[in-house]
Parts: sequence; structure tokens; C-alpha cells
Amino acid sequence: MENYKILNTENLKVHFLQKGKTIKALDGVDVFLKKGLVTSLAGESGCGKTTLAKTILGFYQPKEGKIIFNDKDITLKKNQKIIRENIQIVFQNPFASLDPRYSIFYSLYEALSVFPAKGGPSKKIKKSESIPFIKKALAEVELEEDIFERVPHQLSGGQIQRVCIARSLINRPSLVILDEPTSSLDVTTASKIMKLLIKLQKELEITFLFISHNLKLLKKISHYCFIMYRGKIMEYGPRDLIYSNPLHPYTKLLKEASEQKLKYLEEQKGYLSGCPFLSRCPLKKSDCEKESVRKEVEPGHFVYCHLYKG
Amino acid sequence: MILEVKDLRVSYKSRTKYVDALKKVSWAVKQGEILGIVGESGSGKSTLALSILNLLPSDSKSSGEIIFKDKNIFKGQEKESEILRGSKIGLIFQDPASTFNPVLTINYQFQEILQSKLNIKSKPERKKIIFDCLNKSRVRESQRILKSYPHQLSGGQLQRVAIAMAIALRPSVLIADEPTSSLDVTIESQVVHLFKELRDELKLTIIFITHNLDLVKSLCDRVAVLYQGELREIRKKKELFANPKDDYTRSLLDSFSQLEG
Repeated sequence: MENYKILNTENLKVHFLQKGKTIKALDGVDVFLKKGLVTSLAGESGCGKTTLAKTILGFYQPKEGKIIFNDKDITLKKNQKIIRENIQIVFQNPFASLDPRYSIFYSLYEALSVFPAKGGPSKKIKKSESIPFIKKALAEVELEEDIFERVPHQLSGGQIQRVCIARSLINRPSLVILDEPTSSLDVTTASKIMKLLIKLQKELEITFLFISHNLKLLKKISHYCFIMYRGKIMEYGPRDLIYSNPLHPYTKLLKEASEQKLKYLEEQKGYLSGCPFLSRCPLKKSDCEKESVRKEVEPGHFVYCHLYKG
Repeated sequence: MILEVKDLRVSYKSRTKYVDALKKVSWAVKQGEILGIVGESGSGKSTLALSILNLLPSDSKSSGEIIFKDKNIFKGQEKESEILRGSKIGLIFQDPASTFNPVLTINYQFQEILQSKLNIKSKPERKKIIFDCLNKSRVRESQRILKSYPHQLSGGQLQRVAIAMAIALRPSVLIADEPTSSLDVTIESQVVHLFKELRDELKLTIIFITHNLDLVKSLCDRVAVLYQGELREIRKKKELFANPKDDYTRSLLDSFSQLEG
């Protein structure tokens, strides 16, 4: 069965004003997330990955465009509650995501009490009643019960990140956004967290949006990939096609960089219109100063680039 | 051997007892070699860098020898260490944003270190060295960058400037403590390549501290594996990756390859 699209954005634009200049953080982004699959979003710092995550969560109001979640536009104020009940996020820096004064138990209890879980406890759950739910949530992320009364600074980075994952899953959301969940952890811990995430995703069949700049990492977990650059989508498709046959010059560059083969980046200034990658692109033609349109090169594999004919 | 560490032990004071950060670590590095030091957080990688530069906290306990160009430099006089730092042994830190003084321009800070460390009085001469080094570390638009304040530059640009400053003092050994872990992939790859070029151009000896085995694989000649303050293994890169002898090294390589998929 084809997985249906649980969320899709239509021509999403988010602009920021900085010193009188408009910065186009998201400039017409169309992405979709298929239910029960892991969709990854890759791109370098500043390309708008986190802005997209935050816009989905309703932290930023888009200038234009819609975000459709289960047939409802969640950019509208009246639909804000849908976001809170159904979408959760795990941030990059685990140390900054938990209240330092709350015990782990309380952090999880709060998440549980604010919104009722599907098939779980009702909204006004008492602390004593919540214990089995919290125990279960911690067991899911392979943590011992003895961390109940501890506070975040007594835990290691890996443990806190597990708590954050437990907190995001405790209400059984339909979508979890993971914003570089392993980039502040070291290799051994990161590898354990990745294994855990893959396991949980399979077991619970939750939809993940996985954000990272590391293509090697994304290869492991994702089913579907979007490549982003300067607020625009450059290429997207099923993971295997993106990795075996990267089309856009930017995807190729990212791949090279993740293998430490990228030696030096040429950048020319003075391009204001057209493809955002123009200033760095080694293969540019005269057409490239025009807006690039979407082309389907292989079935399901799309690219925004003038070098290909769809 | 340009730099040799012999039986180095360091322990830090905690509330009730001393905690061993390094337990009898010995290794040596040749001129022009890139030695990678890998290990997870808390394995003592940074303590190693700090002890070479005599920057350990005063309440720590330590013993052993660090021999740099046939002279024991460990726990030397503060005056001697001051000369050593920067001009003989350079250091590049993890976070380029906190390497610089936020209220002074790059130009001011660059001039200052040349004046205080190399004692160069003439301004044109200093300028010449600055541009030469920025060139070497592949900084573009050096004029504009010199006039900027640190917050106006990107992480990659700042790290390149930090490298330029480090090589301006012509050290024979450069210690890089996770120099790329706060940068993103495209910039990381370029910075790593820059280290390689600098080694070839300037015959620099580089001690590259990291937890990223990917970087070690593409950059280093030899690799030392640290775990909980112990040196588990130090071997040529190829041998280590092909045939790890130590259990910990093997598990490290395993978790690395799992992460890669």
C-alpha cells in the first residue's frame, strides 16, 4: 500500500528582516512526509532546515504558503492545537532542552499531563497514576528507573538525549521532528542513539522528519530524502536513488564533503536571480539565471536544475 | 622525534578524591607527521593537549616527561612556557567563535600577537606576514575580513583565521583540538584539506585530536586511541583500520561503521 502524505507544505515562504534587509529563510518550499516513513532533510548550516522544522511547529508564521497536516492547514491560529497534540520535536542540544530544575520524572510527567495521549491517560492525570506510563517510556529508550529523581546535570549527554526522545514519544504523536539529534554526541553514543531511533521507528511506526547535514548518517535511517540549499529544495526522491544517482551539483558536493573529498569551494558573487546554487555551481550554463523548475529524471526522483531534461 | 610524551600521568581534584585523567601515557611524533588522537568524550584527549602546553589547572597532580626538541618542557617555568605556547607549539581550539576577543577587530588581534610573540615593530612588515598567512590558510577577501569583528564572520572563516594566526608564529608543532566539530560538513572537509596542505608546505607536525574517525581516515598518518585515560593502541592508520588489536578500538570502529550504514 502506498503510504499517504501525512504532512505537506505548499509554496512555503518564511522571511526574516535583518537590518532592513529581507532574508529569505524559506523561499517556496514544497516538502511532504509520508506516514510511517523516515523523511530526511539535508543541507548545510543556514540553509533553512531548522526554520522549516520550527515553522511546522508553529514557532514562525509563514509569509506565504500552507502546511497541510491530515487535511488541515496548521498555519492557521485555530488549528494550533493540532500541532501541539500531534507533532513533537527532539532538539540538537539535549542540555538545553530540559528544564535544569525539574527532575526527569517531572519533565516527563509534564509532557504527559499537558496533552492527553491516544489510548493513554486522561488529561488531568495525577503524579502517582503517571508512574507506570513514565516507567514504560523510559524502558522504551533503554533507561533505568533509577534516574527518576535525578536532574539533567547529573546525566550524560547520551542519557539526556534518550530522555528527550522518551518525552517526545510519551504522548504517541503522529510525527516527530529530529533536529540533528546526534550532532552534539560522540561517535559511540551517537551510534547507540541512532540504533535506538531506528528500532523505535519500526516498532511504533511513527513518521520521522530527520534533519542533519551528514549524508552518511541519513543513509542509515531515511526512506526519503530532501536536499535543501538557501531556502529552496534542490532535489528529492527515495533514498536509494539519491545515494546511487545524485543529480544536482549541490547533492554531489554534499556527498563529496561527507567523504572528506571536497578540497576547495569556489564562490562567485553577483548572482541575484535564478538557481540559488549558481554562485558555487561548477557546471552552470546561461539558462541557470532563470528560475529552475522541477524535473522528474527517474520515476519518483525529482531535481530543480537546468542541467536535466524531464 | 620532535615531541615525545613519556609516562604522563595527570589527575584532577574532585570534591573528595583525585580522578585519573591520564594514566601513564607515552607516545612520540616525528617531524612532518600527522598524529590523530581519538577517543570518546572524557577519555583525556584535551588533557593531553593542555599538559603539552603547560595549561593544566594548578590543583591537578601530574608526573612524567614531555620532551620537545631534546628538552623536557613539562612543568617548566611560566616564562619558558609562555615562549613555548604559540611560537613553538601552536594550538587551535574547537570553537572558533570563542577563540577571539569579541570587541576587537581581527586585524587588531592579529597585529597584537605578532607584536607580543615575534616582537615585530614595523607595521608594514606585520601586514606582510598577516596577508601571507591568510593567503596560506586560503582566506578570501582578506581586506574585508581583517576589518571585521569576530561576530561578523562565519564559523568556517573564523577557523581559517585562527589557523592563519597559529601558523603566523611559525610553530613546529600544531595541536588541533577538535578543530572541525563545530563546523558543518562542507566546511569541515575544506578545513581538513587545508591541514594536509599546510603539512606539505610548511613541514608542520600536526597533532589532530578528534572523535571523528572519518577525519582520521582521510588525514592522519598514525593514530593513537585513548580510552579512560589509557593509551590503548598507537599504530599506522592503515594497520589500525584493517586490523585493530585492542578490544576498545574494535568497538570504536564498529560503532563508527554502524553509524555510516
